[in-house]
Amino acid sequence: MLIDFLQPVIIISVFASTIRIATPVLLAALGELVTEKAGVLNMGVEGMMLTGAFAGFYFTYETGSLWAGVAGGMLAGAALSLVMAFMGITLRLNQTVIGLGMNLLASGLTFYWYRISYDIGGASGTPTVDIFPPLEIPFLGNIPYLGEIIFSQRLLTYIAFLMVPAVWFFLYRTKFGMALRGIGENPRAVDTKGISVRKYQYLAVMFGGMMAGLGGAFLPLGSTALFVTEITAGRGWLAIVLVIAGNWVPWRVMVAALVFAFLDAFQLQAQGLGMKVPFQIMLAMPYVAAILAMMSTRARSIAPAALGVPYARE
Amino acid sequence: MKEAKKRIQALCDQYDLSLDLDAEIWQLCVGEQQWVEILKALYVGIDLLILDEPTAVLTPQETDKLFAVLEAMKQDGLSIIFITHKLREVMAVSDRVTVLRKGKKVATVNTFEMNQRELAQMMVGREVLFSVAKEENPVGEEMLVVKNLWTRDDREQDAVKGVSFSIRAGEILGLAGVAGNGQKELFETLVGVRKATKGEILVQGENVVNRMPNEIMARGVGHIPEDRNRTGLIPGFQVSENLYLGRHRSELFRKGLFLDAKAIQSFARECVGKFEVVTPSINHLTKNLSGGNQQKLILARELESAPTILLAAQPTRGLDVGVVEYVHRQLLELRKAGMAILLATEELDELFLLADRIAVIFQGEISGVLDAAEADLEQVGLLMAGC
Amino acid sequence: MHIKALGLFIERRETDSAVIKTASLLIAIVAALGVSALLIRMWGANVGEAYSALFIGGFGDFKAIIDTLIRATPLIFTGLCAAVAFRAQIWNIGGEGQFLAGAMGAYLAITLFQGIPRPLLIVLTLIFAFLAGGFVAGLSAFLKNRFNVDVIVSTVMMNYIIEFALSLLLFTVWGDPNTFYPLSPFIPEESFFPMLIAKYRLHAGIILAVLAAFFAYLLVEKTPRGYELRAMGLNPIAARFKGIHPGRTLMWVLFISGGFAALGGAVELTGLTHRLRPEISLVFGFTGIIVAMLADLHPLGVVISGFLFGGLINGSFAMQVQTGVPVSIAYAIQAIILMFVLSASVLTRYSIRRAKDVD
Repeated sequence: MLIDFLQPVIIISVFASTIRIATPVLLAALGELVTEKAGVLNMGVEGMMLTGAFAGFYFTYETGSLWAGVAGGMLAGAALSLVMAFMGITLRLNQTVIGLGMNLLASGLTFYWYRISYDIGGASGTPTVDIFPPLEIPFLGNIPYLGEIIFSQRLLTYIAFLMVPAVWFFLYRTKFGMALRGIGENPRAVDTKGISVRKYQYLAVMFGGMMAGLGGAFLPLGSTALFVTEITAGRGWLAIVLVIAGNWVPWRVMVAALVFAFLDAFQLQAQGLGMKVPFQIMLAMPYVAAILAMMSTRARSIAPAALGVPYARE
Repeated sequence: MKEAKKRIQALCDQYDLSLDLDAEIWQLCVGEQQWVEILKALYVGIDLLILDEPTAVLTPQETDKLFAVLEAMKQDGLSIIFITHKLREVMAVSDRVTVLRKGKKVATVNTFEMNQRELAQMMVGREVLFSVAKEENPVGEEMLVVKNLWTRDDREQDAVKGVSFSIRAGEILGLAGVAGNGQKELFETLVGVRKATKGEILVQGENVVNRMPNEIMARGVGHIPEDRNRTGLIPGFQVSENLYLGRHRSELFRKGLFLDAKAIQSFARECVGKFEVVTPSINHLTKNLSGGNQQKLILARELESAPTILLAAQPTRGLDVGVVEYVHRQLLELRKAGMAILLATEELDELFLLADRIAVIFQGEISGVLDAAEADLEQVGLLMAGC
Repeated sequence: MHIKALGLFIERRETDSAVIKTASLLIAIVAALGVSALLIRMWGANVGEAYSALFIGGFGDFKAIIDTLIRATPLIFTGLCAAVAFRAQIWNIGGEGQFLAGAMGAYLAITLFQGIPRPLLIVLTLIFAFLAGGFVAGLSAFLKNRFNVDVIVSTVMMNYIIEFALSLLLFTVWGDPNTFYPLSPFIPEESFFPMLIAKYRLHAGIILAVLAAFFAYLLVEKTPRGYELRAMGLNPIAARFKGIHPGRTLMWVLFISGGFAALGGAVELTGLTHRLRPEISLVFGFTGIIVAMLADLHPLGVVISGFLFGGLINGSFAMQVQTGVPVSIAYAIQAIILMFVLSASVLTRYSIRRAKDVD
């Protein structure tokens, strides 16, 4: 059975799927990375992704335009994160609790909104949209093997992976990134320099929400073509794990995302090949892997020092 | 970035400072970190520099260096506000002094017209005794013996390196040293919260190294931590609840499976009275008490458990002169009653006031142990700086 | 610092006030209902009609209240799960999975112990359930103590894993051979949880829930262990210095917390559904978190807020029947209430007096 896997066609398919599957989670993880670097612990990523997924689907379905959906997803994520920022930064409530509340809010609202917008199971069947077509890069797409794997993905995927160096550059090569990192380590020191801690944290949180929303939107718009409740299935949590597993460093987060995506792609292919392992075990693999990943990193010591602590000017 | 580095180096040269500009902040010692702060301000180009308790982390020698640099900056036209509670420094470095009491200004005077006694009086509002009388005290047997103790800090570096000392009943061993030289880790190891990698801690002959905190407490070791709110108290608990923290499982406060509310209440009332804790009620939340009263709570809690050994870390930090006096009196009385006390302090005045012997800790090692009566400030200062 | 406005003097308060807490809670709920009214409008129903259907459906008559009690039972258990853990600042988000584990543990006991006297069987199902939930939660404690795995992440991941485990079991060994769906056969009548009012399906689970709440209250507020729990929640560092062991505390608190949620699962199985199926939990675990937060993590308060939320869910069915608003609105309303309650808790930080009463 395993030998079936080693055919070139299958391998290419698995790797290509890996990159596609990594897209939503990578986007959300990069957003969460920036948020956490600014000292805010956003536990509501799952909810923001879900909201982004719904908004993406909704706007695309209503307007017929995929980019409207993308914009909608980003806006939805940003809106939710704005609420979170208000409660966590201005009101200084417990960030973990707010994040969990966000997840529940997103669950409830998307569930309800979807239900009242579309008559599911009714005469018209399940609503679907046309998803993004793959965008083959003119010259590079023709390279054997690599071309199919890397250069025939969707535009959003290219954007997701380009965001890795972009985020790195922002954090480590710009003044704003430096201030942001400083806030995550020692907000008081940055505050005494006249930099607005509040403003930076708000922006960081909203960036995170936007990215999570964008990542969520990719699910219906770049993959499944429809929306189901809990379509995110824990990917938001996975994004949080990835930031830890990647030691809060952009390219490491990318590697972690690819590893998890590979597991997912592998089990999909395995099911397709009719491997005799129960599908539940396959589906559970990413979650088990997440726990294993957390067990083997002692990365916590490199977390931003002021992570999760609301800053109060005494 | 290169431009910036050159300018900073120029500033260093101007004021005769030697700093490794490429080092990361955590690698610098606390005194050097302070220089970085000052340089940060100078780099931006300022007219007014405000220093808040800058010598808390400096040895006497480093303090002199700071004063010299400040004097040079002053000559260059810089205005400096120097916030301190150390009266000797006020006299040494300032031209004018403003005294604040309870948030209000008492007076602004020219320094050359004042002396320390008068300043203290303005701060407290009454006559302040500068030395509590310390008599000769007969010492008893060895209560606490530390042998060749080694401990690592949070970064897995050795913080306590082969420390050995002993304290007898009825004596106060002062531990002098600039903050960050291993005192925190030493105390944490003595209390049982940090693992020692080598060595022994003998409490009345029994080796308790690496035992659990409650086991060490049970053998008569009391602890006044240096950070009241972080390690000493539970700010969200009521006053009464904090008073039996650590002894919450004891028979004294229990009735069967449950906590004995009546016993707790009467105990709390007793403590509050005995230790003069100012609080609206014993059910008041601890975080709303003043720093001095919080410290008294900790004292009450520790002393009521009748320890034979007391580990006191910076017990008067951040307290106003009246409470400092109170704490000093308490410590001397405990000494008279036969308690063995380890007193870690950055205040050299307090050290010479209270200690029978003085040990100096530098970079995790005991750089010397002196008899308090024979030691002088300069000696201790040199040992603190590692000379 | 203080604010003077509108003839009022507002400053940070120094002591807690039950009056302000209750008032802020009420304000929050009213505000949440106001926002939720928008959701009702989105569907196009009449707000007044919808809300009255909701309240009458939840609390309007005897039958409604009974149904609400039935719905509240699992919520009280998962609410206790969250409340006890959160009070120690242990973020056990695994109530969902622990609930399922409890149902599975109960089912296992039932399959193992056929034919023994009924009282003993029921006690065994509860014990197995409690151990199952406690074990699962304890696993997270172990992962934290030994490998420094974040409790939040491991409990959330376990939710998914247990869900899949249940599905696997229902598709294989525990599946009912007579049906295509992942359902277990009906459990034998001897294993049914005692009925209080059989006509209305009210089982004694509600009594067990209230007893559990009382037990939790005594534990947290009145025992030395509870003292340690609360100390860890407020200042784990100081607690550690005074001999409270963080690792051990984490373990026993999570064990009990998971056990509570598991009891809910057991009772739902043996008292209501009488067969094991994947949807035996209707997000009880997560709703339990909201229930706990609303009750300010107070075990006895959990009973009340559990009852209220049970009524909300129950009433939403009536609301659908009468106005057509989908039942799923209940979940949205719950979450909105949570957000408002959290925000309103800020109000409790301040005291408001009339300006002229202040010197």
